[in-house]
Formats: sequence, structure tokens, C-alpha cells
Amino acid sequence: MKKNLRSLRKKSELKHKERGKRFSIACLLPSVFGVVLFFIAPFFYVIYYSMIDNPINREFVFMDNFAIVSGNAAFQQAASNTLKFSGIAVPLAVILALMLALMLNSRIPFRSQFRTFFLTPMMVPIASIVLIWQVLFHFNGIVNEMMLLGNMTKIDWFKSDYAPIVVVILFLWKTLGYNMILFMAALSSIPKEIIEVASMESARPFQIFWLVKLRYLSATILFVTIMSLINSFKVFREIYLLTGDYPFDSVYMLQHYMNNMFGRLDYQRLSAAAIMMSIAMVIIIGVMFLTENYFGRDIEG
Amino acid sequence: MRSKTIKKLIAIILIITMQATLVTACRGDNSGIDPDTIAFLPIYHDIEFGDNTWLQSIVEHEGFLYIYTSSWDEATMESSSKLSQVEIATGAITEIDISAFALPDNANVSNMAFNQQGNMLLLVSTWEFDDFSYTSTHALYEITLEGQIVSTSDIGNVLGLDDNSWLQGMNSNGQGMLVFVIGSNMGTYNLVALNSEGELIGRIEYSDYIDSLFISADGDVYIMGFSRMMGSMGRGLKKADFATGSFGSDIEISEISPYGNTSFGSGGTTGILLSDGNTLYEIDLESTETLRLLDWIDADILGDNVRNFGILENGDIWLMSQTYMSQGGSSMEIVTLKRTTHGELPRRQYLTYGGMWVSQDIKAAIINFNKRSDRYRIQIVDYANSFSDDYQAAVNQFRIDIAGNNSPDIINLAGMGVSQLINKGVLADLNPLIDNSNINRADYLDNILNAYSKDDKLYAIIPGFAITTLIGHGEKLAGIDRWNVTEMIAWAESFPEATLMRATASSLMYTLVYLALDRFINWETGEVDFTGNEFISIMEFAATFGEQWDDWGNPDRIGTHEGFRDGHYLLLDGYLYSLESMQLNDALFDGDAKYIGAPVENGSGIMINPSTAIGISNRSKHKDGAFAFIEYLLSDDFQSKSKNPFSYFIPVKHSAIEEIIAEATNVQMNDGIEWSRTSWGYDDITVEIFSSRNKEFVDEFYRLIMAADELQDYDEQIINIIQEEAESFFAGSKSAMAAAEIIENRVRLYVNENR
Amino acid sequence: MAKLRRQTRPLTKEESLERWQAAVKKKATHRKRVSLIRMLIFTTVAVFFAFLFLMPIFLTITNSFMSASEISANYGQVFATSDSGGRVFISERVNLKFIPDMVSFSQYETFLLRSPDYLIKFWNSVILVVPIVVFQLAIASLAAYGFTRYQGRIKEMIFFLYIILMLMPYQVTLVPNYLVSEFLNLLDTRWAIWLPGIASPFAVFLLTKYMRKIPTSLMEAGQIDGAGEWQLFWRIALPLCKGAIGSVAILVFIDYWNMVEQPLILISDSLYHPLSVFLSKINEAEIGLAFAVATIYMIPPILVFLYGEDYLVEGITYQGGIKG
Repeated sequence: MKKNLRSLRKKSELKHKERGKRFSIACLLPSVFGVVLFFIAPFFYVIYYSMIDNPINREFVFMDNFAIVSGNAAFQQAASNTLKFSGIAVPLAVILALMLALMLNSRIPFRSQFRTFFLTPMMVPIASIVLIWQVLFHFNGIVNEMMLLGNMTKIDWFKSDYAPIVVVILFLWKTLGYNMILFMAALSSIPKEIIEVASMESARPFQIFWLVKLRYLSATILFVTIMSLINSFKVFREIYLLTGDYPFDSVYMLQHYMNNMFGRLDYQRLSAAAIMMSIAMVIIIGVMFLTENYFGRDIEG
Repeated sequence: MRSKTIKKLIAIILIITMQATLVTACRGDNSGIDPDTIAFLPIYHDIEFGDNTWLQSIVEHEGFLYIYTSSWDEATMESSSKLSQVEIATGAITEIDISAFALPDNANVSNMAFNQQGNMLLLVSTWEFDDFSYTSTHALYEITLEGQIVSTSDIGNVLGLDDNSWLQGMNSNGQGMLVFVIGSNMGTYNLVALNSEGELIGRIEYSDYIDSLFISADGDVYIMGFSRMMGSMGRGLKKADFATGSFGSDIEISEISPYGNTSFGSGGTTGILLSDGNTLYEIDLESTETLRLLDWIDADILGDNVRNFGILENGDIWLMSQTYMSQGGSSMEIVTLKRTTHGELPRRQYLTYGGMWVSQDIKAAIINFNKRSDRYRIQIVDYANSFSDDYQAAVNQFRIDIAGNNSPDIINLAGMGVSQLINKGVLADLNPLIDNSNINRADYLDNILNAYSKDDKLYAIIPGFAITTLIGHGEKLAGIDRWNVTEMIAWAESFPEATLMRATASSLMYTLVYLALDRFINWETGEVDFTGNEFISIMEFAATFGEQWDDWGNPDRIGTHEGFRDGHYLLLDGYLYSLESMQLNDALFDGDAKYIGAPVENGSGIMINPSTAIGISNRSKHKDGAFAFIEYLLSDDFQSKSKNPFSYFIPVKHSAIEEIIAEATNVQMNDGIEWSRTSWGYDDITVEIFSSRNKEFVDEFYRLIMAADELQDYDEQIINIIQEEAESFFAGSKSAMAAAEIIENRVRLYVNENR
Repeated sequence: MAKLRRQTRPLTKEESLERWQAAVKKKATHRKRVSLIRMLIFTTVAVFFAFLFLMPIFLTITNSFMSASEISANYGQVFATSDSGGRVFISERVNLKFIPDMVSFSQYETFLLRSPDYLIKFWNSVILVVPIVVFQLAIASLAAYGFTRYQGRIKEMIFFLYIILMLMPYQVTLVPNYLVSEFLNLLDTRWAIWLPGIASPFAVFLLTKYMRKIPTSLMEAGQIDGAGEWQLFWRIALPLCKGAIGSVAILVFIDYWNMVEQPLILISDSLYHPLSVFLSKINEAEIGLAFAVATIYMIPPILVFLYGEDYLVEGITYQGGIKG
């Protein structure tokens, strides 16, 4: 008797599972369909495009386009600029945000108001802010005025090697708020008992931070890094609004290159550049995932 | 188990087919026009009006057109008038005998109408010119269709005309109601309506100019008036209310193009037709609903030339179009458009012609081509018109289309940055097409024909062009035949009291730098040099010109002639398209005009300014049809001024040029005195143009045409960068070197990207 | 970890408790003193940063109340356009005005009343963004549920693919979007913007992470109660995710409210362009209006933000951790 009941239950459980699996696949379908249609399938076409020489002749030239693009001096400049920018801006965004979050986490008044204030830059559309930014950093703008007062020479902020500084500041202005909130949330979710125990063991605050909190934060740090990385690519829009298609070469990014290729209808080079960028992204993300795996291993559970 | 896999398989196949059909169903249908759409077939009535005939007035009544014309007989030096009756449906003409009522020589019939009795009303205006002013008298004649005068009346009294007002026009609705438009020196217009008995219905004043007017069969009067208050549109359609003596508020009809003139016609279901020069609409003015009947160009009609039109009882459209010839005079056509369906039209291959701003001459050429060709029909895609407010977006879309799947078969490449397109292989090589055709290359100007060629391939044909060059005093330019930038600046500096030309710093950069970019940019190696002495000295020279245009509003402005005569300015930016203009230039420089090209490294510096540059898309499936159009453009029908009323350019065919020169130098004597052809004014000087003088310039004209070798086809992006940065230098906020460094940096980026 | 302190003899329960309490008290008082100073420092820093963050926004709003001539006068050096035909006074130095000399509504007047252009573009923005937010979230919540239940290797791979896609910058994804839109003849219509936006993996990613945090026990409890899969989704999973959905909706809204590249390339008729594109162009052409337009453009996102801030923060709270 018992056996029969159990097998019956197992059967009904299996049925549930089957139905459940099918239902969950059905749920996925609309989204996957859209993604395949609009992103994946045409991406193959992009790969095809990157391997032909000309939309008219359609001769297969395999790697030629990639060779041309990677050999192109402008592309190299763009790649190095993008790397440099992300390499500096993203860590800054993460570390500064973490520090600010730690600070805000301790008891200060008006915490939620501050939180609102810090989030506003993210909300405000960039096109609205660009105006003020131009006024600030223009050659005849406010910052230069102040530098003159301080007996320093004027710097052409947008059109010199100092331009990346402005862009980094703009980027930080936009993303610090969001990152901070993330960190604050993560900080408040660290179980308090462990911290108590550690401080009872006379561990100094710094040690507490480094060895305890960081472990718990590792997943968040990864997440914030990834989001900041995404946002650092979006910064192209700001640069474009401030300086146009062909800025000073210190702020010429990969997106500029691709945007210009698009405008010139050079789909071959555009596709090749896009593919190279995708491959680079996959590698970077893969590395990040692996690091997070390593650090956060003992936390999951 | 097996049934399950089969089920899964079926499900998958179903899903795939569903997706596939979804995708294909979403594809729009771009294969052509639905054969059931209504189309109109033009039928031309050959009506000869003779040379030197001009139209005085025309009116339509019950399927007949009544046309009052006058002609000038050269032999007898006399004018005569004719009243013709044309049956619209058949084109049969009868002449109405008007010998019974003789009009004085200086009278003209400005308007005609019909009254309820079926008699014709003619508004006859007579102008007396004494030494100081015009006086006019207006009489209203009523005549039968046999030409018998029924009555005359002095309408001027009834309308209350005085010295400060004049009669602009008369309209009627065929039911006897007459509406007169009276203008006055105060700038206001009055509308006066009389009923069929000649009694005054009402009088309304309008504060501005009345463009056109319509009276419906029921006696409702609508005007299209200009209104300075209306901002950019400037036009308002209003209904006249004689009871209150005012006009109603503006009636909004959104489909009507805001540009150009509108005219009314009668007929159709609502009784009111409106044409805006491009499209014919049937409108209901009460509900402001419009029904788009047709685009004139689809029936091979040039909409701007349509003078009168209407719809007959059987639904056919009639129109009269008048084309003014560039040699003078006009030709008139009466056309009936028979209502039919698209499927019934003669089968032809459709081609597209794409360009930014399709000019009149090309439009007319396309219409003529469509009329003559029984194989092809060209449809126009005018990019600038479709993006009415955003020129840059239009250019972008045009470029994208040319490079993509949506390319027009025939492309107007003038000013489009052809070298990039050539590199992408989107343009067809025209040389083999020319070799296989009947075109004889020797018939055409070699340098112009091959202007758009690269590596032995020809990518565009220039059917007509003008020349731009610099003009200065021969004495000052002695010994110089061509020059580059440094030479020109050195020459300018040898005349310290004079300014090089009327220019601003930015416009001077065009002349000095943009034509000679090769000096600073090496496209092979990617080297860019803007920080060297040369560019900086050019910028500094340009900077001396300031940014304010010395424009017409400036009271201290020196007149053009005065400027050159007194040595204030050295050079003039000249645009040449005829012999006559050379006479004008000569006068500006007191008989010592010398033509010298723009400062360039190689070549003559004389620029070709193409009115159009026609290329064929490499993707076109109808290259032969597209080339047939090019052949038409190169044929006498387009090139020859006597055959083409729209030719305002220099033709590319030798014989056509000779024809122009022959006509321009043909001296006509009248009583032993040569009359001037025309007189042209430029700023502070007026010149009488004489045919005999034209002879003097023939040689130089030929020299310039043959020497033209530069195409104004430059890289806009580089120019934008230089302009932008140079501006801050010109404004004084940066040093020349600082600006030059930025220019170098940015241009190098651009060059590297595009190498 | 600090090493355990050596003990001479084991403490008794009472003794260790005493020591514990004493230590806590000592720390408490010490903490109190330090914390006051720390609080002051931190507050100052926070205020400083808050000021920095808010200043540009504040400036944009106040500058929108200046008349066009005042703007040229103060910012003429920066935005010098060559079409300023008549004599316009431009001061030598650029003055950053916090408060306008003369409060004038002329900018708003021109913008709102004179020409319908701007309002049309504003509504274009709304029409483009709202459907994307609504439908992307609808599809995404379904998909998130699909990813959460019955995880398998294939699903993980697909999820990884989504992450990669999400990280691609616009320029990379724009090319495929353009090709597909051309193929489907959707170019120049709003669908070319809607469809890729609705299919975007961004919301799916965020919602999946949130849904995976829902304890499976809840789901199982529902199952035992006899709920079918759809009801599990509709009645259990979805209501729990309300916060996340709200927060993701806000993020998606902000993202698409700002979009510039897509409309520029996919829709050529400027009549359909949203205000974001227009704003980027207007900065060159009509500086006299730009501040007002910028301010009006800011209002919907700020409203959305203020209304949904709590949702946002709650949603963000659970977003930490990418694998979680």
C-alpha cells in the first residue's frame, strides 16, 4: 500500500514538475524570442558583414576588415582611451562610493534626505546638465576664471589632454549616488553578530573592515563594478554632446569610432569594431566572474 | 515516449512557421502601386496660338474654355485680338467673331465671366499714361456668344475707384454674381460684390494682399489672403461675410503646402478645387476636409505652370498650363486628364530620381522624358522637401539611402561628397554606357564631361553648369595667370591700402583654405600639418577681416563699383553663367576685368559649379532606363536654349554653346540704333547689355569654360572642424598657435579614421 | 582574525559576564565621544557632496528664468553663435549666475506657448518611453519567473548571454537593431524604437536576481495548497516583487527618457523625434531657450523619482550580488 502511495505521489510530483518546467519555458519564450530576433540573429549578420568587403560585391575577405580596423591609428587611439578611461573611472567610482557609503552608514542626521540628493544626478537627463557643464569648463568659463584668480593659466578643458578629467568628473557625478546606495544597502545586510564578535576579539576597525565586511561585500562590489562599467560606456553620450563627432583625441572613444563609421555607412569596419569590442567585453566579464567566485565562495550558502 | 517526441517536433515546427509568417507578414509591401488606385491619363490638345501671342484672359463655362489673346505681327507691326472657344473634351477650336466691338489699342481684357443669361462679361481696362501717372478706366462689356454687344457700363463708378485705387481683378461664379478685388495705395484691399442685376451686395475691406479668390455656385466667397500677422505661413483662407462686412476667421487646411501660390478651380463633388503648385485637392471649406486628387507631376504636368483648371461633369480634370520660355514669350497647353485606374495606364518601368531640392529644369526634363518615353517613367524623390525643417537630416537620409537598399536609380550628386560614395562602390561606371550609346564624346566639353571621373571611370554627368572664379583689375593682376595661397596673400599685401575682397574671416577661409586642403593633409601617410607657418599665416591673414559682414544695411557701405574703382577692394567672387554677366563684370572694373582662378596648388583654379550632377546607382536594376534619362539630358532638347525654357546654365554640348553665343552676339538694329537686350544692375551700378559688346567676350568665355577643372566638392567634416576652432581665434580668445594645435589634433583624428 | 588572548586561568561564568559588560560599557562611552566628532565631520562632508551634486541641477533651473538677452550677456562667450545679428552685449567674462538679475518667464513663454514644436517633441518622448517601460517589464517579469523556476544548464547559459548583451554599449547593439528594422520595414516608424526596447534584457536581469531571492519554501507551500504554475506566478511571485518591479521600472524609464542615438538613426523624420534628441540639437541653435527646455525635460524623471524613491531604494537593496 505504502509503496503505491509513494509512487503515486512521486508521479504527481513528477507531473507537477513537468508542467512546471514547461510553464517556465513558456514564460521565457516571449523574451527570448524578442532577444533572438533583435539582438542575436542580426548579430550573426553583423559577423557576416564584418567578413565581406563591400555590400555590393559581397566578396568574402575573412579577417581583412579586422586587420584594417585594428591597424587603424584612430581605432587604436580610441581603444586606448576607452581602456584608460574605464580603468581609472570605474575603480574610482567603486572606491569613492564605498567610502561615502561607509561614512553615511554611521549615524549622521538627515540620512534619507542625503540619499535623495545623491540619487538626483542619476535621474536628471544628461542633456539638461550639459549646458551648465559647458559653462563651467569652457575656455572662458567659471573654472578657468577661478584659476586665473589663483594665478594659474587657463586650461582649455575640453580641447586638450585635460579633457578626460572633465569626463571623469562628470561620470563620477552621475554614478556615485547609485553606487553609494547599493553599498549602503549591502552594508546594512551584513549580519551584525559577526561584527560584534570581531570587535569583542579586539580586532581593530580596519581589520574588521578588510577581513570581514569586504567578504560580504564582494558580490556587491562585483555588481557595482559591472554597473559602473556599463555606465562608463554610456558616458559617450556626454562627450558627444559636449564636443561633437571629432573631439580632441584624448577623449575619442571607441563609441565615437563606431558612431562615425555608422554615419559614413562603413558597415564593414563598424561590424569588425563591434565584434572586437564584444569579445573584449566577454573576456573582462569572465575574469570578473571568476574573481568574484574566488572571493565570495565562503559567503554563499 | 515516441508520441511525445512527435508532439514536440510538431510544436517546434508550428512555432517556427508561425514566427516565419509573422516576420514575413510584417514586411511591408514595397513592390509598387496598387493597380486599383485612381490615376489620370493626360491627353494633350494641340492648340497653336502662334508666335508672339499672349494670353489676356481665360474663363471656363459649361465645358468650354474661352480664351482672349492678342498677337503682335512683326511684319505689319500691328496687334490683333482673338476670342477663341475651345471645347475641352475634344479640343476643337472655334473663333468668336469680335469684329463688332472694337477695342482701342491700349485697352486690354483683364477678366472675363459669364452671367445667368449665358452672355459673356468682359472687364475691359484702358490705361492712359501721361507724363506723371497712369489713369485707368474700366468698362464692363456684356456680349453674346456671337460677338454682339448687349451693354456696356462704366464699372469704375459703381466700384468707387479713384486715383488711389485700382482694379485688381474680377471673379464670377457663372451665376452672374461678380466680385471685384480693388487695391489701394494704402496697402489695403477691398472686396466688392455685385449681384446679377449689378446691384451692390456688399463691400469688405481686407488689410493686406489678396492672393486668390473663389466664388462657389451658391454665392459664398472665399479669399486666400496674405497676412503679415500669420508668422511664417503668411497666408490665410477666409470666408467673406457681406452681411457684416468682415471676414471670418482663418480656415485651416493642413495638407496644403505652406510654400508657393495657391489657386482655385471649380468642379468635382464639393465644387471647390485647390492647387498648391504640387498637388490638386478637392476641398470642402465648411468641414475643411480635403480629398487629395493627384500630384500634378504624376500626370506629367508641371504644377507651377497651371493657370486654370477645373473638373468636368464626367470627372475628368481639365487644365491650361502656360510655360514661359527663357527667350521670351510663352507656350500654352490645354490638357484633359482622363480619370482611369493605375492598372489601365500604359505599362512602364518605374525609376526613381533622388536629389536634394529638385530644380525646375530637372523637374521639367523629367516630365518631358516621361511624356516621350513609352518604356520608362521617372518618379521624383525630393529629400529636402520631405524633411522640411531639418536639412542635415535630409542629407543624412539621402546618404544612407544611396548606400543602402533604398537607393534611387538616378542620383543627383551635386554637393554630396562623391569621393566617399565612389570608394564604397555605390555608383555605376558610366563610361561603358556612353561607349555603347550614340553619344559622341567629341560633341561635349571634355573637361566638364569628365569632371567626375576617377581612375578612368566616370561616375556622374554634368548636364549644365556655371563657373566660379575671382575677378580683379587686369592692371593689378598683370603677369599672373594662376596662383596659390601664399602667392595671393603676397600679392594682396603689395597693395596695402586695399582689402582683398569683401569677406569675413570665416568666408575667407573658404576661399583660401578649403580649396587647397591637400597642402596640409597627406591622405596617404596620415600626416597633418596645421601648426606650420603656412596655415598660421593664412589664419592670421584671414583674421584681419573681422567677422561682421559689410552688408546692405550698413549706411557706410561702399558700393561694389565704387569699391573696385577706387581701389578699396581687389577681387570679386564671380559667378559666371552667360556672356551678359561678363559685360557686367567688365563695367564693375571699368573695362579692365581680368578673370583669375581661386588660389590652388595645381590647375587653373577656375571652378565648375554644377547645377546637377547625375549618377546612376550601381544597385539599380534599370540602368539602361536611367541612362536613357542621361541621354535625354545630353540631347539638344535639354541642352539647347531654344528648346529648353528652363536652361539657365551653361550647356555642356558644343553646339548648344555655339547657339547661345550666336544668339547673344546677334545684333538687332531698330531704325539704325541697336537696342540693348536688357539692363542689369548690381549694387550701385547699372549696365545696359548690348549684343554687339558680347562679341568682345566670346574668346575669354571659351577660355574660362575650357579651363575650368576644379569641382567644388570638399570634405565638409574637415571644414567644420577648422571653422569651429578658427572661430575662437577670430574672436580673440585663443592664440593662433593654440587654435592650430587643436585643429591639427582633431583633423588628424578624422584623417586617421578615414584613411 | 585576532588571536585568542591567552588566559592564566579559565574565567567563571560570572566573571566573564562581568568583563564583557565592562568592556561593552567602556567601548560605549569611548564610542560616544568619538562618534560626535565623527558625526560632525561626516555630516560636513556629506553636505559638501550634496551641494556638489545638486548645484548643476539648481543652476539649470534658475537659469531657465533668465531672459534670452541676459543669457547671451552672461554666457555669450561660451555659446557665441554667429547668427546674433544685431548688437548683442556680451560680457568679457563668463558670469555664472545663481539667481537671475531679472526673473523672466520669456523662455517658458516661447517654449510653451509660441511654438507647438517643443510640446510635440515632449509628447513624442512620452509616447516612446511609456510603452517600452510597461511592456519590457511585463515580458521581463515573465522571463524572470521562467529563469527562477527549474534552473538548468541551458537556462544558465541563456542568462549569461543576457548579461553579455546587457553590457554591450549602444553602438554595438544598434547595428543589429538597424538591420532588423530595415528588414522588417520598420524604419522610420515608432516600432523601430519600441520593439528593441521591449526586448531588451536589462529588466530581465535585474528582476531575475530579485526573484531568485524568494525562498523556495514559499513556492512549495503554494504548490502544496494546490496552486497551478500560473497562480504561483501571479499570486505569489509577482506581488513579492512589487518593489523590484517599481525600481526597475524607474531605471528603465530614466534610461529610455535619455535615449539619443536610437531615434537619430532609426527614425529619420524629425517630427517623431523625442525631446532628448531635440535638446541635444537645441543647445547649439537656440541657447536662449535651452535652459527652460532642459528644466521641463527634467521634470518627468524627477517626478517619477520622487514618487518611486522608496521603491527604488528597496529594489536596489536586494540587487547586491550578481550571482545571488
